[in-house]
Amino acid sequence: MSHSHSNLHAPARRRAERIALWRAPVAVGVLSLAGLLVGLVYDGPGDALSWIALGIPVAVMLWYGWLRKPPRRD
Amino acid sequence: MSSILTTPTDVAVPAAAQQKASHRFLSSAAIRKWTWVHKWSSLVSTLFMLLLCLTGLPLLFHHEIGHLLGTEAEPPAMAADAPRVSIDRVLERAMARHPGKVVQFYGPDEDDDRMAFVTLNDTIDGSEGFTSLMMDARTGEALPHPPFDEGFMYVMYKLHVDLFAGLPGKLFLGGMGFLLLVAIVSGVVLYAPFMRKLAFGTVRRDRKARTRWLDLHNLLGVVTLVWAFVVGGTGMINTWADLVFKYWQNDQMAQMVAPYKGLPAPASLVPVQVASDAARALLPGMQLRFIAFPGSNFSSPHHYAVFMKGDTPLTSRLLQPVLVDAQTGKVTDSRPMPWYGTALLISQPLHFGDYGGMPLQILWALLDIATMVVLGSGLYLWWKKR
Repeated sequence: MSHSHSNLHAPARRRAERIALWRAPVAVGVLSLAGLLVGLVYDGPGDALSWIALGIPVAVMLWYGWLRKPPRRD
Repeated sequence: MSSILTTPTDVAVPAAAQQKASHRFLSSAAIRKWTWVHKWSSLVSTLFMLLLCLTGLPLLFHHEIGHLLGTEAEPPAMAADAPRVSIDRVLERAMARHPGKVVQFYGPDEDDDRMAFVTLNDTIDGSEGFTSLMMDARTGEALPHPPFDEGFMYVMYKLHVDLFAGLPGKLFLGGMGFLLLVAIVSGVVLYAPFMRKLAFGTVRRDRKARTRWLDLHNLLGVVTLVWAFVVGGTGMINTWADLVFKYWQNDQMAQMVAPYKGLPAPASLVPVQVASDAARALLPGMQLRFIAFPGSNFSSPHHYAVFMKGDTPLTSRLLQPVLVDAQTGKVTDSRPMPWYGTALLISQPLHFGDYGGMPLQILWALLDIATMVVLGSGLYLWWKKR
C-alpha cells in the first residue's frame, strides 16, 4: 500500500497538525480570558494588564486582517 | 450543498485538504451536521446580534456621551470637603418637588459621591412610571437633569435591553444570545476542517471575494471567540435578571421577613439615616449602594432594605441586603447573595466592560466592531452560497 509508510506516523503527525492549528487560537483565547478577569479582580496594575491582554487579540486581528502585506508570489 | 459556508469540499480549501479533511478532524457527515447547526443558529440570530452590537456601541460610552450632550447631572463646584446633608434632608427636598409621591429608593451616585439618586412613585409598590431625581448630596437640592426616559440614549438602551417589549422582549433577546453561543461553538468546531492546511491568520487577498471574506470570517471569528462568548453569555444571563430577582425575593427575602408575616404595617418610621447607619455598623467593611423603602418591591412593608456593596473591584459589584426594622431601627437580618444572585451581579461588569477605564471601553468597542464584521461576513457567505 502506498500509504503504509505515512500511516505508521499518522498519530504523531496528526498531533503536530492539531498543535499547529490550535496554538495561536488557544493563546489568543487564554489571553482574552485573562484580560477579562484580571481587570475585574484587581484595580490599577490589574487594569493595565487587562488592556495588554485584550489589546493583543485586537492587534492580531488588525495585523493579519488588514495591515499585513500579502506574501509575494512567484 | 446548501450550506452557509463554503465547506471543506468547496474550492475555498486547497484540493489537498479536500481528500484528507473527511477523516482527519471530522467525518464529512459530522461536518455537514455542524454546518447545519452553524448556519441556522447564525441565520436566526444575526440581525438581532447586529442590532445589539450597534446599540451596544453608544451604550459603552453612555457617561461620555451624556457629558457631551449635557444630559448628565453636574454638581456645582464647592469645597471638596463640603459636608454631606443627611439622607432624610435629601428625601425631604425630593418630595417637596413632587408632592403626593412617595420615595421608593435612594442611593449615592456610583461614580460621584457628591450626588445621590432618589426614585419616587405614586404608590410605594409601583413598578412603572418612576420619577427619578439626581440630588446634590451637599445641599439636598435637586440637580437639573433631563428625563431619563427619552432621547437618543434611551432609545439605544431600550433596543438593546428589551426591544421596547418588556420582559418578553428581554427573554427573546436572551434566546437570541443563546443562539449566538451555539453559533460560536459550532463555528469553533468548523474552524479545524477549514484551517488545517492554512497558516493562522491567512487572508487570501488575491483570491475571489468569497474566499477573502471566508478567511477574514475565520480569523476574526476565532480571535473574538472568548470575548464574544463571555459578553454574549453574560448578556444572556442579564436578560434573566428580573426572574432571578423574583426568585431571590421568594426564596431569601421571604425567609428573612417571615417573622413579620401578618403584622400590621409600622405606625411610624425611624429616619432612613438611622437605618443606613445601622447597616454600616453591621458591615463596616462595606459601602451603601442603595436603600429600598418599606413596602417597595425590594423590601418588605416592615423594613428598610439597605443594600451594601464591597470595596474591592470585584466585591463592589456584589450586594448584601441588611434588613432594618422600620419602626425600631434595629437590624433584623442580613445574608450574602446566594450563588445565583452572585452569578447575575458578576455578569453585569463582564457584559458592560465598565471595570477597566477608558482603554477597556475602547477595546470593548473594537471587539464589538470585529464581531459585527464576523456577523456581516457570515451573512455574506451564506448569501453567495445559496
